[in-house]
Amino acid sequence: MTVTVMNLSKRIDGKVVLQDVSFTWQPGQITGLVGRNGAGKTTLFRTMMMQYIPEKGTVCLNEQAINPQANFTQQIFFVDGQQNFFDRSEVQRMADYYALIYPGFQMADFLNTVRHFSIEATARWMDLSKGMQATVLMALALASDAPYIILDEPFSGLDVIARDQVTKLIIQAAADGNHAFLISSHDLEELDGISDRVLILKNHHITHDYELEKLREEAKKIQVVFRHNQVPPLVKEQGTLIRVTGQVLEIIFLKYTDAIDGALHQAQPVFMEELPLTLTDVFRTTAVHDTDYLMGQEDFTHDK
Amino acid sequence: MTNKKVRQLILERHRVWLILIAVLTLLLGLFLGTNHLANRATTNEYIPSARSFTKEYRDYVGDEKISYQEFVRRQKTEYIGDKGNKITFGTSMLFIEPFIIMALVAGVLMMFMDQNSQFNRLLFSSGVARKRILMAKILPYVAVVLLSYLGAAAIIMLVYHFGIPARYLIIDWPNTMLNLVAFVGTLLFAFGLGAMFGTIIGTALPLVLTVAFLGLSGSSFFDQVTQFFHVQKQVWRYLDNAVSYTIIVLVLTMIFLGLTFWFYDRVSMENSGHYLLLEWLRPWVLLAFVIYVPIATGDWLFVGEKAISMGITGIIVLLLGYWYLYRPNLHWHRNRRQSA
Repeated sequence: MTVTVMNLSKRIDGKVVLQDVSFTWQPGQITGLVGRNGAGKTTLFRTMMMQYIPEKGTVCLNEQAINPQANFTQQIFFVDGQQNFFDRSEVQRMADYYALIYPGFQMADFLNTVRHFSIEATARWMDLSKGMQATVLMALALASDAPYIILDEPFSGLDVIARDQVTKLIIQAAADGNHAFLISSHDLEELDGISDRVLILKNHHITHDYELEKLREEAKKIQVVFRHNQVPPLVKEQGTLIRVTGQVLEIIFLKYTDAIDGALHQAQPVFMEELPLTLTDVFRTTAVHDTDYLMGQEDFTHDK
Repeated sequence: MTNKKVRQLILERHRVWLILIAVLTLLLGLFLGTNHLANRATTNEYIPSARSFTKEYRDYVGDEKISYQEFVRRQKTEYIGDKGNKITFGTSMLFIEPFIIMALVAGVLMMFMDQNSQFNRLLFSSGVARKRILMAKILPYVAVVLLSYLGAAAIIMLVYHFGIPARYLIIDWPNTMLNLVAFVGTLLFAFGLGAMFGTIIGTALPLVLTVAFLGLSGSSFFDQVTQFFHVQKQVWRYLDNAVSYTIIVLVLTMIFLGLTFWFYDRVSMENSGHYLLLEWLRPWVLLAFVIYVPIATGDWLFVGEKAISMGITGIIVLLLGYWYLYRPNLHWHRNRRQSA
């Protein structure tokens, strides 16, 4: 069972939002979709769900194409948290709609979950707090029995307790290996704790696809002070400088090799220490240009 | 999803509107029937006296030679239908515009409601082919529009039956039945037209204005075109005949519904809140308006100077239309900020 997104492209108002986006998605994975504001994360979800019609590309579920002309048993769950028609609907009514769409919808499970979080089934969507809305969406997603669940910014605006609740529900559901989550978030720390894999959406396409386990084996974050600010050329080439505090540099190496290790030691730095690598570091390394100038043009230029 | 579940999903959403359409149509039937009776009673109070009739005979009956008794009988008689297979819409409460407007509104509501309320997002993501979704919408709407109309027609007939003495009620049943079929065709035509506009126009007020303008100006446009091509008589010959009229409106209905299916398959939700839900229609719609409006309005600007009037109207429509269709859409930009 696989969802395959192949060369998906979407323009909105003449502007490219997605360009040749391709990836596969399998049950048992919690995949984070990371991108800056306006990168096209929600557009990707809406296009995958045929709310938006792509200019190009396909979305296949077990090799069956998903398009406006196709009939299939819905196995992907996605509720657009920003734009849905449920504003005035009661929670129970929302569930009634989804029970019609998803053949395996477990109404009893849904009601138990919302009750567990002290949410009335008669409450209106618009009257719920953000945390409650996120919980209701999670409860709907899990009750739908859909193997593929898309969550768009599920942690946005939630307090710590609500975040923990949502995170717990995701981890519990993923633990059985039958569910696949695709979660977009700006809250990289939350994704760091739960994702197996991270897709970086940048410049309209997926620029990086990281298996986090593998990434942690290969990548390193080094805090270092070079003698006389002399940075070895290989370090400049392979590393990404993410922070400068006085003479202390924090550098990320996505592929930390023996050659880099050798170059660092050969430079005989005044101080060098490995720091824990977070998903935020990866995001800053791969998705944001804002710090790039530090590496090549300012702090390092004075060394030459 | 099974067909039954698709139907349930649609009915869950549209039930209230369907009930409302049915109730309003039936009430409309009752209102039209009773109102007509009341009007008859008022009119009957003003039948000229025998003296006045004798004095101003020709004013009332022209050259026809009839007695005063015959004149009174005719004044009091309710004629439904006419002999032959002619279209006699408008001569009876059974076949008048309010029913056509109801069918048009039903078609618009069926499509526009789901787009405007974002219910289409749920439908498009449901795994059901859009053709099936649309079919599941059309069937109950058509059933409600037609059955409630037939119910309203039955109410009108019952009101006539009980409210008008039998000797004053003359019904040409073959003609009435032919007209009933033709009128049902007209209702389907209006419904199909409404559905098509409800599919491609994404904002409420402009949708109402567009449909209202086209509705009000349609006959003028039709007259101008048929006059221009010198085919008015021939065309009316077909439109006067109930059978050919029915065939024409049913063919047009099929075209409108076919276009509705075709457009619906291509609706993409990022254009939600735009005047046109299908961006690529903009040049075509602009062209259509630039042609249609000057023809429909004729010499309204300078009476007697058709060419100048039409030319200026065309330029105004082109400029306004271009601005309206191609201007940056603030609503859309707000959505994009939220959602990209």
